[in-house]
Amino acid sequence: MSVFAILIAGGVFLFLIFLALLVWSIRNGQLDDLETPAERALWDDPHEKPDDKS
Amino acid sequence: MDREAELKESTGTDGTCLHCGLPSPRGPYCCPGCEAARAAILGMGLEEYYTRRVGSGVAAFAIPERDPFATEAAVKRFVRSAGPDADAVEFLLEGVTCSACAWLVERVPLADPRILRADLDMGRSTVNVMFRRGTRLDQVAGTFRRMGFRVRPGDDPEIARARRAEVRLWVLRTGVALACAAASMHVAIGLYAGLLEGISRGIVRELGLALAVVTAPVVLWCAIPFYRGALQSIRARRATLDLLVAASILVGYFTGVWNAWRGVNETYFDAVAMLTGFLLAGRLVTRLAEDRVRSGGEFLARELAGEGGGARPGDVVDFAAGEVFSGDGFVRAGRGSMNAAWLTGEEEPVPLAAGDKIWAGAVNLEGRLEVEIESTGRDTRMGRILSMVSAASKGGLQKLSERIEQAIVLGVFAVVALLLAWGAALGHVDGRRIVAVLLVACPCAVGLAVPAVLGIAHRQAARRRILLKGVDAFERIAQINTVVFDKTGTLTRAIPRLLEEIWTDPSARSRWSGKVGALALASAHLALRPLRAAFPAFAADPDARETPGCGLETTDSSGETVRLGRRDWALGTEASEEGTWSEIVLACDALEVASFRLGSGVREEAPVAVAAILRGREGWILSGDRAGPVAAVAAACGIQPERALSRRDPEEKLRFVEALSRVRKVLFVGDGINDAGALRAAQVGVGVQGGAAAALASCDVYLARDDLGLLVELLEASKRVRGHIVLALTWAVVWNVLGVALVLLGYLGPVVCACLMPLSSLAVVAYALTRHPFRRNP
Repeated sequence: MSVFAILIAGGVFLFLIFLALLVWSIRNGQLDDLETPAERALWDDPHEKPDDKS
Repeated sequence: MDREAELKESTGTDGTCLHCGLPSPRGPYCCPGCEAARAAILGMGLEEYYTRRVGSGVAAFAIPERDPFATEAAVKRFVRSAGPDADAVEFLLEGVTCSACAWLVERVPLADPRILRADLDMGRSTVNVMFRRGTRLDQVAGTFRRMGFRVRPGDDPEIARARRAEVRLWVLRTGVALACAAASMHVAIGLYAGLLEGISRGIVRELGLALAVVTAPVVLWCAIPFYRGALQSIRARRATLDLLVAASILVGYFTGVWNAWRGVNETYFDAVAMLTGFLLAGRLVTRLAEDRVRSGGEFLARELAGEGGGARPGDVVDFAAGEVFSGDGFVRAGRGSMNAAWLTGEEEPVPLAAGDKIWAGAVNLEGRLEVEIESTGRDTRMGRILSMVSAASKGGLQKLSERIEQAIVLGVFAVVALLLAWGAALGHVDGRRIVAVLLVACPCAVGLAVPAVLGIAHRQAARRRILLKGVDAFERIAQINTVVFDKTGTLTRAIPRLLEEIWTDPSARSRWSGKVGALALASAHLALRPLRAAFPAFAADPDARETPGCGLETTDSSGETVRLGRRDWALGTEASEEGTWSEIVLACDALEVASFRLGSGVREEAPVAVAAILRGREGWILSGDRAGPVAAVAAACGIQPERALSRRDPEEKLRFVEALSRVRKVLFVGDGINDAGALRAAQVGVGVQGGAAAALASCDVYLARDDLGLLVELLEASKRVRGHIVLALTWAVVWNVLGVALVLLGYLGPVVCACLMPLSSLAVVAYALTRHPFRRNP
């Protein structure tokens, strides 16, 4: 039986890690806009990023 | 300038405008607006834009209008605080067509120190701007305008924040449900193996109760929206999907708990969790698509109609050239002209003399006018039209998917009720069979496939800069059999184009071109604008005298009278009432020197696009313009002359569309405040790029790129979307009927049903994801 307990505990632990990551990314606004970041990744330019400015 | 020369080469001077890429036979720029926009971009050191962009999709330059962002009320409504010394605002940007535009928008802070950050959301065409506190809102908007984008108010900050919080919560619910489903499946595999290999009651009980704990968050928290929906549907006495979903979740879960407690190896926890997760994901997709466009346009339109600078009815007010009339009234003294484009849709000036009516919102174009105000605010014509717009409503139209949904839900509950009655009659209720029916009938295809089809269609549409408000837009568009067009700004460009210049003596061009340019600069008249671009001049002719409605006159160095204007007037003949500006003549002492032919400016793509739109549909033109130009445009676009209606004011447009809507499914395409009522009244209202704020607020579909061809694509895609929805729903119905029948006949037990459910979901989602309603790549 202890093997089940370990498996279930492990599963719950993984679940909590993923939940924490999800909450973090939602709060961080990572999921608010799913289109523009894909374009932004392609701009390799010498200018400093607007993000670094403020 | 070295860089400039290099860029000229890279962009090419083959008769196209250096900035916008439109045909420009007379020089490097098609209009002064583009010249200014390019100067602004180069001045900020962002010339890379021209090498980055794909195609030539910069917005045609906007007609100047009163700046809606200059009012105190706009600042109060749209600006929010973003830190100790910064404010933020959200704009809806028109003209963002590709990655290059996005790049340009986000580089604005590098060029303008007052702007700290600009974050673009391409899907929604909005930019979130953070600026230094103390910067005026119209200056912030002006920076984006100078780059050639048209700036609209975005969401109300309060609404935007509430919506974002709601979407984020929904994402969390979906994520938790899916994570729980995945975790529960790990354990459930053991139970499924036990079904085949044999398993002791004790282990079933332990594993089952562990599963009940793992999936508890799903049932207790994630599924709350479905419970709310179910309660609402009970209160409204309507069978909705939520009712069935809530019943499936609760019955499935608690039967599972009961079975686990007894050590019976029939638990449905994994199926319940997965069902909830999938359905939440489906709703999320719909929700995101629905939220694409909302804007504060309606607010700004009201603001412009506003209280009118404190004028009261009965006051006599002086208006200088360039001022906006603050109320309805009539001219007491003075001569001039006004631009009443908001009322008629026409940019052509309306000549004014003593006794003529003027309307609030129109712009005084030339000279000083003494006006007696008769009404202000809500009592003006603009105020009445705006209230009419908000009163006009869409006819009740039940969605196809909603009807099928209802049939499925009612059918399932009928079967469950029958089983209960049957059981009661026999004295033994077969609980397993009821659970099996609820599980197999769970409407995943409806709850998942339809949102997936619509979500993909919305995304593809947004990539083409077609913005749809509401997810049912596709279904409504697919039914359209009549299309009504506004003329100016929709089928034609608002500003005429110079088509041809004919000089009586070709060598005279170089001698006269400076004079023509200087004269054209001296007038605000729309018809002279293409001449300004074709004949660049440094300054307006100081001696120019304008005869309203006719043209300009000046005296040459040799004492000759030079006139530039309508043919009849320039050559000294009597000015006729119906004279047009389609030809402008330059005359020296009443002798013709040159004539310039102006085009009505029918959009290049219009004839082909209109023909494609009207394939199998009825076409009308509804315009505020005079009969002549309307007939010409109708002929060019292949619309029957008796269906080209001219001189319609906004009220008549609304009434016409309302009347036509009673017998036909009408789509209206328009751009001005004068179209706003008709846009609202039609089954589908399509606003075109460059339209007025009120038009944007009342349309269902907004074409954020200057191309009528988008409408053709949209109409075709909508038909395909409807086909895909019908197929997905047919699949759902067949699956349910077949499943329920097999359960009733006793071939399927609840556990098999719980396994089949996700398979059915996967099948419909796979179908939906491989559909592409829009064919051409953007």
